[in-house]
Amino acid sequence: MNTSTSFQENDIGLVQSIERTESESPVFRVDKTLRSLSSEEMDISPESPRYSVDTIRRLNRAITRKIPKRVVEELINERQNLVKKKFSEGLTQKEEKRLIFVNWQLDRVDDAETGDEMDRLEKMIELYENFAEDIDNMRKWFISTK
Amino acid sequence: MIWLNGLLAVPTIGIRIKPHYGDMQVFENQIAKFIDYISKNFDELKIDKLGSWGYKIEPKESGYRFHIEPHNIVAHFSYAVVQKPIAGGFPTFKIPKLQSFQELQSILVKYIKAILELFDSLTDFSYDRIGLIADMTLEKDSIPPGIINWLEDLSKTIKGDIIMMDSTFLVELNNSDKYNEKCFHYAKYDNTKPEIGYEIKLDWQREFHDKMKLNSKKMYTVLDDCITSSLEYFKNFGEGV
Repeated sequence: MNTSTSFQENDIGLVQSIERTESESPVFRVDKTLRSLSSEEMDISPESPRYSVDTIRRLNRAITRKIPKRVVEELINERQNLVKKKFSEGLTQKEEKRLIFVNWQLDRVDDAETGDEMDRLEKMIELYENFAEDIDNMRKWFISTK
Repeated sequence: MIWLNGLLAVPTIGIRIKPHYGDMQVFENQIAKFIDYISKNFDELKIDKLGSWGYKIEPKESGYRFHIEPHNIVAHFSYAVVQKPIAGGFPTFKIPKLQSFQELQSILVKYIKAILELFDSLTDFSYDRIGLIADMTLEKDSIPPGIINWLEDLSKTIKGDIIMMDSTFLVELNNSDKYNEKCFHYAKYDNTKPEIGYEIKLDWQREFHDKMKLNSKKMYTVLDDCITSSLEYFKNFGEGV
């Protein structure tokens, strides 16, 4: 039975992130000092992979995208009701905490839908900014050598 | 929906057992039957001996791992990266299909129940603890508000910014006539190595005051109850309730 999913679209990124992690610290780290149930019963750490933050972000987004639409709609409705109540009669401490959590969860859903594109856009902006800086430096150099 | 389902979180289920050494041959026979059972679902199994009577069973490239030994039954899942060599090209990397925490946990429960059913013949074996773990590595933006609050509270009494943390807190949650419940809260991060992320682990346990007979039918109910209680605790902890 094949349970694997190919991450072809992210393969290069995944390879890079794994290479980066390998060069900076061991991927499979053994930490036996602070294990509780697992230290007594099994050492789960040596074979548990340690992903880079970029990979974690991408995997988290992929999992978040699996949240059913029905659940997201329920969260949106719940947020609307809590916000309405906040401005009409105020919220209890428990409801305040719930509103913070619902906002966080919906932010994660938004990030899962648009985050990859926003990251790409951010990188493009960074490239253009660097390019503009290079052009500016070149212009200054031409002026100074006149 | 519990917040764990929207994050890269993996489950572990552990049961601490007390063996009866007169039945160790039966114990090993029953493990062999479990190996037969899971071999129907997976093409290749990696099996290692653990001590004199225990076994570590790992369906290859699946992420599942089982440790069955005289003192413990443990089922664990992790997203293991598998390297696929390509002749004349760069290797590609695959990870098992992404699933929510509760989906993965329910699969582990199915396997644990299969083991318990096979162990019904070990009439003199008993158990005294059930543990359920949620293990996750997060980037800063994806940490749920309850855990952010917890980490911030820990640093409140310390002057200056915390650069590195490696802490375990054991909290007693409930103490009744029959059992007590506790949870280890483990947090580790290092801001000097931002490429690593935040390692968070919640290790919920119910420990019985008296040893209980290994009886699958009774244990199914207890296990389901432990899962409900632990998920409720994890949910509230992440939400900051």
